[in-house]
Amino acid sequence: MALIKALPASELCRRYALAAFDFEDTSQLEDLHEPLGQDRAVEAIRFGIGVRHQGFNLFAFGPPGTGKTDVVRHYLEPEAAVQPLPDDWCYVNDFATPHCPKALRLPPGRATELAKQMANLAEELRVVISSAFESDDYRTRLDVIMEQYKLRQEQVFEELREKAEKKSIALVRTPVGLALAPVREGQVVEPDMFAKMSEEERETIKKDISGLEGELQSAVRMLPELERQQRQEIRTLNREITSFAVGHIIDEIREHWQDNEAVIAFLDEVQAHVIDHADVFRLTNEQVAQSLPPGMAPDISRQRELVIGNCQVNVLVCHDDNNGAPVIYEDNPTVDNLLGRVEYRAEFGNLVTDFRLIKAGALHHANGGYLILDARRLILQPFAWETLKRELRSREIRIESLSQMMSLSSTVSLKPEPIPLDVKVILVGDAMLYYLLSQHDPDFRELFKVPVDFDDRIPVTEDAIAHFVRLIATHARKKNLLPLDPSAVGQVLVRMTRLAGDAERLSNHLRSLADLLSEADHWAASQGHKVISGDDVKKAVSAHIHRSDRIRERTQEQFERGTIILDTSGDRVGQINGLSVLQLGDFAFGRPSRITARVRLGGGKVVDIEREVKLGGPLHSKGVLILSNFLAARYTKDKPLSLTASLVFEQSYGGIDGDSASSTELYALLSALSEIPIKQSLAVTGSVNQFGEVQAIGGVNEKIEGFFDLCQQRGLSGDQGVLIPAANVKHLMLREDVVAAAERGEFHIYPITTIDEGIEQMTGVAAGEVGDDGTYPPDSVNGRVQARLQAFAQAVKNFTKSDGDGDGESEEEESDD
Amino acid sequence: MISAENLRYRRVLLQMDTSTHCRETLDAAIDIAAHLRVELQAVFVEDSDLISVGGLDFVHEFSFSSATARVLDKQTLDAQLKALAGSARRQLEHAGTRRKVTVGFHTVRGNFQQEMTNASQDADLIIAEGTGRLRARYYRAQLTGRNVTGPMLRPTLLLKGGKPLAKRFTVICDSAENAGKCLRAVASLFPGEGRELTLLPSAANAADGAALAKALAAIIADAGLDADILAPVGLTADAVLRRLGSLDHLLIIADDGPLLGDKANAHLLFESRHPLFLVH
Repeated sequence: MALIKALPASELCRRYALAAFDFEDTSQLEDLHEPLGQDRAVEAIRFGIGVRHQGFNLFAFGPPGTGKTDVVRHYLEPEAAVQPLPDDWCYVNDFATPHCPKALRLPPGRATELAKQMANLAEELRVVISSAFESDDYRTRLDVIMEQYKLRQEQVFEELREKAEKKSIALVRTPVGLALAPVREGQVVEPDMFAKMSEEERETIKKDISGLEGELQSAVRMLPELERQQRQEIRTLNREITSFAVGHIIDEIREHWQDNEAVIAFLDEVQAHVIDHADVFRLTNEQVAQSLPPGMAPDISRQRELVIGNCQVNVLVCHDDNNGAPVIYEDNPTVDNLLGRVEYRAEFGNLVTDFRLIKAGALHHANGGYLILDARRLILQPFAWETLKRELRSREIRIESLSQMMSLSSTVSLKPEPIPLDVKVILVGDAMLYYLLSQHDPDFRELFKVPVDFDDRIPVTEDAIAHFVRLIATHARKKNLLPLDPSAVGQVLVRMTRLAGDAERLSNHLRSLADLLSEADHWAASQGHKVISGDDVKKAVSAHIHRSDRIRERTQEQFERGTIILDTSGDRVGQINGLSVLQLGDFAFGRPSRITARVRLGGGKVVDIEREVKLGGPLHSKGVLILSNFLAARYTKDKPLSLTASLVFEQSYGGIDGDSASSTELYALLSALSEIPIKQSLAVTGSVNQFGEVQAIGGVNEKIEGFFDLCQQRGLSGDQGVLIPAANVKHLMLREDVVAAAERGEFHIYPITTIDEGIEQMTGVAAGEVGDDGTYPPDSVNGRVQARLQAFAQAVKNFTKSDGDGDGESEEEESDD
Repeated sequence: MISAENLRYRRVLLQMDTSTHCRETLDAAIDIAAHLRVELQAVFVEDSDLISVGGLDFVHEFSFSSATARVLDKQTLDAQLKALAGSARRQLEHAGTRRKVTVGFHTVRGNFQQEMTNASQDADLIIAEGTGRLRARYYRAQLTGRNVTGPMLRPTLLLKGGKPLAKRFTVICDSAENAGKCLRAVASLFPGEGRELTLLPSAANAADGAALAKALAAIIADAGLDADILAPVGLTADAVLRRLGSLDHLLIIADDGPLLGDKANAHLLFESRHPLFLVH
């Protein structure tokens, strides 16, 4: 029997050769402009940016903190900068249907110009129109019209008056109208005098008056029509005066917009609107009050503001910065923030709105360019995801509030004209979200056809190291940190390799790198260092761990106080030290656990007690099920497996999952079956397949360190160590103290390939090779296991036979077992 | 020297009747009373002619608002007059309170001219609505504004159309003596800054006009007035009105001068849109 040799210390942790760093500190290094290890993602970004067809939007996904947004912007912004500026967009009043404001498209950078021109126009209108109406020319023409109609009115009554006068009848003004009455010597005939007149005279007067009353009635009836004609003529005059006054001002603006039919049409509408509402500029509140019945006079200053306001331009988006196509990042992608919204203002207790209160959303700002959104935030905002998809599908921005979308509100509001949408959306999120959407949302694949898959680790090569060192330098410079000396760079590389959990990989998790550098900078600065040294980085790492490892310390304390029982010396049958990993946030640590196995005669079943009490996950159960097949296939090919075995994680009160303990459990089973004790100074991790091959597991470093910490606490005896799958050797990035102990021969890491190797290491007894007859040497572990299982099988056989003689009850019990 | 010392208005009388009742006239009168810091007395006259009409049972009234004929009986007429008088009184009191002017109001019934003559005995200044327009409430049919001033005993301010007084004053000067009289009246009634004073010589011929203009120049120079003298016009109201054009001026004119001596001229001026201040 040849035991596996412990790994040399050099294989327990990758060390970076400081001699290869030909710089004094990172300030001497050039910036790294390209993202590191993201070739696939970069290629996808370039493709996604370049293709302008519909649906080729991007979804950048990968582990959080890998700098996805920064990388996307890094490639997007230069590309966008050389693209043409998109058009400006405004909303203007639709004079025919004011609740449906019109969208006005303008050449880039000219929206503000138009808005200013219209604002100036409003100011000029106030002056020019009121001046025009105060001119002598207007007043004279107005007087002429009024005089003409007054004369026409009076002429009618004067003729009547003269006609009546000839018959000694007067036209008398009564409090509310006119009447005809007989006169004598310039005075209306008094009733007494009238009574004294002769019958004939009275009848004549009555007849004359009666005849004239018809004419009087006709004359009075003419008055409203004459007034109407007068108003019409005055209105025509006002329109003429206003048109002349405002025409040349608006013509000046027209000159600037000859090439834009939409603006010209808008200006025509503005001119017509102003002319139609000239009175609001001409009249004061008092004059309006005089000309209309009380209570009907509008507030002319409000009316004036309304007319002027209707001529304004609401600039939604204006690209006057000449920076190419826009790249917009919307941090809070609510429906309103994406689509824009219609705001309201309170007026006399009412909420009112108009086209000037339409506000742009991120889609407006990004139209003609790029919009970056956080996918998770987008999904979490009510209706935001559906809204974005709808806009991308329809290629229009249709401003609607949530209440409108859900038909919750029936109040009158604006319905702005939709704006054509041409935007490329880049969602940034995690891979899980990408795959979920991809699988469950049929629209998703139609609209986001370009996956941008970010990786968080890169293979360790000389080239990669060189680039990574420049990446460190770039980060330090960008964040105004102290430069790092070569030892610090080395420690950063070690830490990033450890974070990758693989000695052959470097983690390019940028947030972790940035945090590590910032913390190291803090410790260096607090010590008054000019550069960050390796010790500063170590301090940063240990401090970072210390901030998170309260639970680990508490667990260690429980071992120390004997609350959790675990042996680190001696031998025990059916008892072994397993290793598990606890993940708490971004901190993980290893925890040794005692695993025990008991066997007895039975029906060929390995009972996973964790699973029976629903504490074991499916992967753990899978590992245990493999064991029974392994035992049957290896030791009892021609006989039934006639044992019942139970496996349990002692003092485990939480859920367990993963198959990394399956080899451990198998060792315990073999020990229990062979009754050969297992060394308690060793701990084991690794999964096993049906052929007894030990397979790689995760968290190997944490597991080893967990057992090391316990052993170190109790005092390293020199024979303690951990059995790990040989496939995990490349993942070893152990702590310095573990490596040092290994170097001193006080702690050992054994790479195991097969169960036989492992059981020999654990028991010190040869596993035993199978002979041609299918048997193992009797003193070997396998031989003793085989013998035990055969004994079980024979016992079952004997038991079954005696049962056939009449003892059926026992068989039933065995079957149940 | 033009001085207002000997021309103090202490009692102002506002003439009102069914036709002159309009808020703006009342407001203008309140303004003047407030400016002069005097009491404003309003007299509402229920014209006997109108009372007579109400007694004739065959007479029909045609209202402007509907043109329908209805019998105007005495009871209805009384009610209308009372309503109008009550409304006028409330308006006056409200305006007086607002402008802190002491006001008085009483109603008389009888011949309009006679009653006004009686009422004006104790007044220094009479304010009346003088527009003779049919459609307006203040149209009197045969009793147009000129009749108001027929037996004029006191300076009379004849407002037109209820408009507030403009700051443009034009003195119609048909003699140097009358010009001096009018300027004193202006100084008394409308002192203060901001007024725009113009003198318009009106003479029978060019030579008289030139001489009058020269005399006027001497008067304003002597008085230290800031006033313009327009080119002389003929001694007719038509010439005067044509020269004034469309602007609203308060025309100040002596009631006993040669211009108003001609009834045709007086008629034209009374009928014009310009308010008149007839200096007695």
